[in-house]
Amino acid sequence: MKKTLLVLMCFSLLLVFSCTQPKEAVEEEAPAENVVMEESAETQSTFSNEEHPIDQPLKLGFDMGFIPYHYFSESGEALGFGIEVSKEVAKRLGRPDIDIVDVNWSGIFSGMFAGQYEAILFSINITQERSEMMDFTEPFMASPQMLIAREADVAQYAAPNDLKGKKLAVSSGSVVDTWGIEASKKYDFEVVRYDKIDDAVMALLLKKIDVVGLNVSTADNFIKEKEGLGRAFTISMPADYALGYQAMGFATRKDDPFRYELEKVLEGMKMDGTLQKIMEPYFGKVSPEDYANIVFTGYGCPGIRAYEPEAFHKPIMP
Amino acid sequence: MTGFAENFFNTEVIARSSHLLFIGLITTFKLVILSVIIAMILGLLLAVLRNANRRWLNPIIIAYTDILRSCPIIVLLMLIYYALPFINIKLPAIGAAIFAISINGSAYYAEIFRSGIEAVSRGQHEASRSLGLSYIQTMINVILPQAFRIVLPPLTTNTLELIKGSAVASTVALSDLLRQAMQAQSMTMNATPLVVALIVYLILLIPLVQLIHYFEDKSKAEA
Amino acid sequence: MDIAGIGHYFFNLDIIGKSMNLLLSGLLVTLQVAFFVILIGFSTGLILALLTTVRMKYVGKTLKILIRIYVDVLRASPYLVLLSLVYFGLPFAGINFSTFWATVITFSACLSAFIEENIRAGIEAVDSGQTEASRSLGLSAFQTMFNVVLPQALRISIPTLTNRTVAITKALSMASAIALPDLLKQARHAQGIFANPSPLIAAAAIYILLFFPFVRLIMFLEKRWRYDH
Repeated sequence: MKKTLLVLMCFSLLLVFSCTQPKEAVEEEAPAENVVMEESAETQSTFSNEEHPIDQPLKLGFDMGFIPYHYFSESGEALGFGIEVSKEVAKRLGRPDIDIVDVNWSGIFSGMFAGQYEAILFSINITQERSEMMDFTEPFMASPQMLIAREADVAQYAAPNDLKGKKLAVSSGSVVDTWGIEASKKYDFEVVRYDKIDDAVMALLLKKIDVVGLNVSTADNFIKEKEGLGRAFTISMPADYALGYQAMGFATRKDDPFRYELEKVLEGMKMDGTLQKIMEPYFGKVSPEDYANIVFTGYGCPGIRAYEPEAFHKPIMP
Repeated sequence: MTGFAENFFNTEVIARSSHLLFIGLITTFKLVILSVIIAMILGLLLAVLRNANRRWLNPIIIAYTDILRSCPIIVLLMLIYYALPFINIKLPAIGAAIFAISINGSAYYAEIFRSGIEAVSRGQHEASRSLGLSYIQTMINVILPQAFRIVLPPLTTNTLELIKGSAVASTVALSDLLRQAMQAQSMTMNATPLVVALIVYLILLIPLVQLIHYFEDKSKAEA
Repeated sequence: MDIAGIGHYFFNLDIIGKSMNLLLSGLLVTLQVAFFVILIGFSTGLILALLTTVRMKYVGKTLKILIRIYVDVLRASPYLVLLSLVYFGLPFAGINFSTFWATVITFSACLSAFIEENIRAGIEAVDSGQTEASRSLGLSAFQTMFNVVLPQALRISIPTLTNRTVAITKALSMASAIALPDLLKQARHAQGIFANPSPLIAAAAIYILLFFPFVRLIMFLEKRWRYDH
């Protein structure tokens, strides 16, 4: 089944031949040919410049505490789906390790622009608005958002209308926050913005607010880990692009050629099944329609700024 | 009553979070000690320069102290963490925190030292100059020791305020004591870590408060 | 990064314009909190100072010691730690404050500790001869305090009182860490939404404009006070 999927993906990638690389990137110039990419794919990136030195650990910004994507264990160890994927990405980029910079979500983008870290891999929902400020790779995972409430109250929250007069807590700067700005006026509720989603969930348990809006997988994890919480309803947000629902992607600074390398590595991880393998223990079996199983031609996310559909390239696979 | 102890003074929770809290304590120590030292040195320098009364330097120093004293420390910290890298000064979280707290503190120390220096009578200055000492030597050997003694009370108060303000570093995700305590609280669903953090700060700072009382009593006795 | 880049990222007038509404609503919250903190903090501090200095039969020694402990502990507690404890900790004891009131209570308490110390120092600095003279003139302890001692004490403490009050008002911006929608919080929120730090720069400018006159006022008051003595 997996092999068929792989072959299908190969064909969906159309012709695989390299084009001229961006100036500061890889030294080698791959020849332009039609080949089945598994054989001729690069095994490791050799990209290196001042901002992304290949001999240094890969510096990444994370809003730590976002279970199960990136969080610290009680002993201070960095764990999570995002951490594991990032380590694999670093390996394929030829970097010695990852260097985690823990930042509050509301400041995570500014930190990237300021050069405090090289990129943000998790956990960003691709939106048109955000793409005005940064460049995205293709999506790799769906991330619908939902509301959770205290177990006893779950029944009363079935739709946005039920939020009237209530307090919704969000992580400051998240997509739910953006949704909340308009929705709070429409449905007459208050949005309370915390720096960390942890604080928002704590406030929920302490009865300081009524519902918390966050990513579905994170929500399920909180429900599992902490007693007394339950799912309320999924938020339907307008999809920013033709594909239909919210998804995550990697982000770099605008016009940073590093994005191309990240995309090549991401595609490689999708195609050789590594991404799906890492996902499984956290999210269960990955369905064939999931973004993790779809490789998009060119660079970037379809429908979003900086999408380069014609830029055919080889993925990076060890 | 047992509920209270369980939620606020839970020894099991303390044991579980001790590792986290310890990291926080070390970070806070580093942050505080470095910030205070740098702020004092900088403040002293500025006060001495101000006293030298160079026409072109004064407005710059005045602008520096005015602006930095008008800006809340947390706002300054955000600016330094996100803005400075654009002129190629990339500081890690602890560097940004130390920088922000130091320059903010230095503005206050500068004013304190300045009033101390001015309080030392002009006669002292003139006398030492006539004895052949240079400006710098006068400063170091005659004026400053006296000025220091005069301003010891406000100096201590200000240092106390500086250390209290350092907890804002937790907002730029620096793993200081407060942040670690918040994380531990979130993990254990118990308020004990926060109580521990407060107690640690109290252990460190109440002696400083007592010192301030001592100075007050002394000045009262002298009056 | 070049000049154009800096302008786009830090002085992006378009984004600052879009976030102005947010920022001003934040400013309003900051001022509201400041109002209550100064009102409650000052009056509490004044009452505590009077309780500590007055020599009345029913104001026992234990009360004075308790007040002393209250003042010392609050003087030694970092604002943000206290705030987090009040907001996230007290619910475990069944006491649940909103961000607004948690902020007001914490900072009022801290301010009251400062005010108590300063007014007490001011009262004690007033020449005891004054007290003796008024009592011998037949004024009660109450009248002595309110008509003779306190006015002088307040006059002495005004520079330091203003200083402390301004310091506390500046520290209020820390409450953005517990989701108080004050100026700083709204600025950081706008920063997250627009993925651009310009609103933060605008907020810093507003803060500086707000506090600068007070910094000057304090310097003026201190100079005058120094001159008087």
